[in-house]
Amino acid sequence: MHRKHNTAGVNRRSMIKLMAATGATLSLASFARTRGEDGQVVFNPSAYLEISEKDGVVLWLKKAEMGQQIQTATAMMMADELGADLDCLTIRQADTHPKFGFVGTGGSFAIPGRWTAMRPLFASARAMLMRAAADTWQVPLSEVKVDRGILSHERSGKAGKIETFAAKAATYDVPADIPLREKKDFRYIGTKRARLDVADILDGTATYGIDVRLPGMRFAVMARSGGRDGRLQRYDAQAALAVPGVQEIHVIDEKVAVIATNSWAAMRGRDALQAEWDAGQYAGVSNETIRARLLDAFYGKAIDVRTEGKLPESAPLLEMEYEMPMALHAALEPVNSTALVENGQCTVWGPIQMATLVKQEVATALQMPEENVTVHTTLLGGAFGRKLERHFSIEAAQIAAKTKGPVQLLLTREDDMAEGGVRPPSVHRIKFFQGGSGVAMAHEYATLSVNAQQDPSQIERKGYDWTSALGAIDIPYRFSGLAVRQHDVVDHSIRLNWWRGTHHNHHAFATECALDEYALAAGADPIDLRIALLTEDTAQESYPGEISTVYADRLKALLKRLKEEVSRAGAPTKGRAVGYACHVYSDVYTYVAHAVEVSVQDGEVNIHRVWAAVDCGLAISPDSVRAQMEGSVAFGLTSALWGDVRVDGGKITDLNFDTCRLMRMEEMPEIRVIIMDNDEAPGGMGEPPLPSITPAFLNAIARAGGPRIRRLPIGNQLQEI
Amino acid sequence: MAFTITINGKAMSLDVPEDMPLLWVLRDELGITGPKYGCGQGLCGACTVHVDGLAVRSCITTAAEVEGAEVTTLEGLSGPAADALRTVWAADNVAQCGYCQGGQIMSAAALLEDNASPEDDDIDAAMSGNICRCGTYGRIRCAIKKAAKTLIV
Repeated sequence: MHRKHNTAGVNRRSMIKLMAATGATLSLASFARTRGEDGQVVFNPSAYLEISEKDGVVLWLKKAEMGQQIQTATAMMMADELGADLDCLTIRQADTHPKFGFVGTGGSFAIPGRWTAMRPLFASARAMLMRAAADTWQVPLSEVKVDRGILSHERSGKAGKIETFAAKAATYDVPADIPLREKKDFRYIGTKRARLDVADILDGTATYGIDVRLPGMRFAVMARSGGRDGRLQRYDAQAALAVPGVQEIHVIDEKVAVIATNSWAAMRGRDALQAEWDAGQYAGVSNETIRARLLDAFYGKAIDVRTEGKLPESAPLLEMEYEMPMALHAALEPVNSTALVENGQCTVWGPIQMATLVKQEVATALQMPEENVTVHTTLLGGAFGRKLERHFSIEAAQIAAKTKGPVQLLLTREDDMAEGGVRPPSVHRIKFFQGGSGVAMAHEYATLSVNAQQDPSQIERKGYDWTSALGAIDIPYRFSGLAVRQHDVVDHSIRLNWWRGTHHNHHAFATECALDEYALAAGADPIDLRIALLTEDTAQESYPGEISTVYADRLKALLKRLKEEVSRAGAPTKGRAVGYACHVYSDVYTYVAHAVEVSVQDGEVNIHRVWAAVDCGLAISPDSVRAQMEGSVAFGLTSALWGDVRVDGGKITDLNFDTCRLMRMEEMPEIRVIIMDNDEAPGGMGEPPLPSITPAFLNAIARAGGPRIRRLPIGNQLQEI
Repeated sequence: MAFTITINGKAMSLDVPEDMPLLWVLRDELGITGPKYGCGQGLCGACTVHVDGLAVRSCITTAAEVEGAEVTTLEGLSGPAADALRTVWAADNVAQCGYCQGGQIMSAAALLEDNASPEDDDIDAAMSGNICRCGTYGRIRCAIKKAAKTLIV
C-alpha cells in the first residue's frame, strides 16, 4: 500500500534546494517488521519508530538539534500520539539512509512539519499495538487503551508494556487514516519538560561535531587565502612537517591541509607553511563597493512583488531610506566535520544542518556514488544558518580521501568567520502617501541575492529571488495603496548565505520602523494604528506554489495583549519610552510582537524591560517556546547594536569576538514572555521570534529622545548627535 | 616536554610542548571534551576549567603554566555548588544549544565556592567572560541565584 503525503512540510522548503523525496512518503506496509541483529522481531512501522522487547521504544529523529530543542518537542508529539512513556524511550539521530528521505533542518518548519507529517505514522503504530493487545487478550479493540507506555483493558484488569506486543503488532499490515489523538489525550504536549539531552550537557558527554573522537582519528586545519578567492602561490611544506605532531600536507583547491596528531599542532603547522596567495579578483571589495552596488540597483530593473490598489499621484507625506548591514552567524561552535574514506565509502560526522545535501555534494566532490556516502548529524553548538553550508564537510571528505583513517577538519574561529556566507545587506526606500481613502505605502528595496549563489534555479520559479521577498510580500497592513518592489542584485564579490530569519529581518526592520515614523507624524498610537490597518487577512505566495496567510484577528489579538501587558507593568515610567513592532511568519504560522522600554542619556541607551509576545498556536513544548523568545531578544539586540561585517581588501576583517561584539550577561535586559493560548496548528519557533525585536528597540530609542536610527548597526550613532 | 598535571583527581604525566594550550591537551591528547573551543583567545569562556579552584580560560593557559596544579573540567566538577547548579540547570532548562554551558557552569561554580550568596553585580563580574550566543543569560542568572539559595539552607 502506498501512501502519498501532502507534506505541506518538506516540499516547500525549496529555498534550501530541497529534493522531491519526503521522509514521510513511504510504503508503510514494507516497514512493519524487520529483524534485529540477534534475529528478534523489531516492530518497525515507519523509519522513525522501532519497538522491541529488547530495546523498548526507539524514536529515530532526523531534525538537527541546534538549541531549538526540536528533539524534545518531537519526542513529546510522538510519545503522545503513540501513547508511549516519554521517560522510557530512546532517541536516535537518523543518518542519511534513504528510508529517512530528505534529511535537513531549516526554515523553522520542523514543528509544523512534524505535526502534520509524522503524527499519522505514529497513530498507525498505536492502532497496530492496540490491535495486538486486543488479539492477545481476546477482548474488543474498542475497550483497549494505551497510555504512558502501557496497554490495558479495564474490564479484565489486563495490562502490559507496549514492547511486549511489538512482535505481534509487527505481523499486521500498517493501517492508514487512523484518527489522531486530541488535546484531551495529551500527556506531554503543552507541559513543561526538561529537555531530553540535558544530562549530557551537564556532565560534559554531549557530543558536538567538534567532540567526535574515533580510534586513530587525526586533526586537520587548512591554510586559506582568507578572501573570496586567490590562487595558492607558495608554501613551505618542510617547515610545516618539522612541527612536532604534523604528519601530512595536502594541497586541495588552492588550500593547504595540515594533518596532525592534535588540532593545535595542525594550527602551528599551518603557521609554519607561510602560505601565500595572489590577490584574486575580489581584492578591491569593501563595504563601500558592496553598498555602491545596492544603491546603483535602484536605477536598474525592479520587480513588482506585490501591488494593491493605487498609489496617489501626490507627493509622499514621508520618505525614508533604511539600511541593513551584512551579518555574521558567529555560532559558538566553529564549523567542522570528521570524515573517513575507506573501501570506496565515505562517512562524514558533523554539526550539519543539511545532511542530505552534504551526502550529495561529497559524492560529487569525491566522484563516488551517493549511496556510498553516509552522513551522521551530531549535536550542533549553535547554527543560525551557518551550518546549512556544506564547504566544511566537503573539505573534510576531500582531506580524508587523501589519507587513511578518520580526520577531523576544524575551522578555527577566524576561519569560520572568514569562510562563511554572510547575511546579505539591503537598502529600503519607503514612502507613505496620504490619500483620500487612507494611507498608502511604497516599499522599494535592493538586496544581494542569496540564491544567485546558492541555487540560481530558484530565481526562475518566480522571476526574482523570492527568498529576498520573504516578510515583504505578505505585509499584513491593508493600505489604500501598496507597492512592494524588489531590485535583485546578483553579486559574487562576497559569499552569501541565509542568516537566522533571512530577509524577514530586513523587511521587519524597515517597515516596522517606517510605520512607527508614520505613527509619530500622524499622532497615532502605534498599536491602534496597526490594528486599524489589519482589516483583512493577507494571503500571499511567499513560497512558490504555496499560499500562506496572515490572519488579521490573530495579529490584532496579539498586539492588544502586548499593549495590555506593557500598560499593566506601568511602562513606560518617567524618562523612558516604549517602542513596539511586530512580524508574522505566515508560512510557519507564528505571530510575534515586541515592546522595548528604554531611556537615552548622554549618548547611551539603557534597555530596561522587554516584552516578547508570541502566538505560535498550540505550544508543543511551552518552555522551549519561552526559551526561543528569550534567546532571540539577545540575538536581535546584539545585531541591532553591533551587528556588522567589515570587509576590506576583499576579506572579512571581523574574525573573532574582539571586533565581532556579542551581548554578555551584564547587558541582558529583563524579558517578559507572553505566550498566547489557543489551539491553532503549532507554529515554528526557530526564526519567527527574531525579526521584530530590532524595530521595537529602534522605535523605543526614537521615542525616548534618541535619534531615529535608519542605518544599522546602532554602533556609535547615539554619541554622534 | 614531560609535565605532571592532576586532572579531575588523576595525576597524569604528559609529554606535550610546553606552550601547548591546556584546552588542546585536554581535548585532543586526553579526549576530555567537556571544555570547548570557541575562540582561542580567551574571549568567549567556553574553555573554562578550574586550576587549583580558580576559573581559568584553558585556551590561553599553557601546559607549562599548570605543571603540578590540579585541573578540574566539567567532567570532574563535583561538590555542593556543582550539584546545586546541575540540579537547577536541569530543572529550569537553562541550556539551548548547550555549547557554552560547560564553561558557564565552571565559572558559576567558582563564583559560588567563593561567594555563597552573590548579588547581581557579583554575577555580572564572574560571568561576563562567558558568552552565550543563544542568549540564555537570564536563565543562567536565575539558576545561579536559585542554586545559591539551596546552598545556604
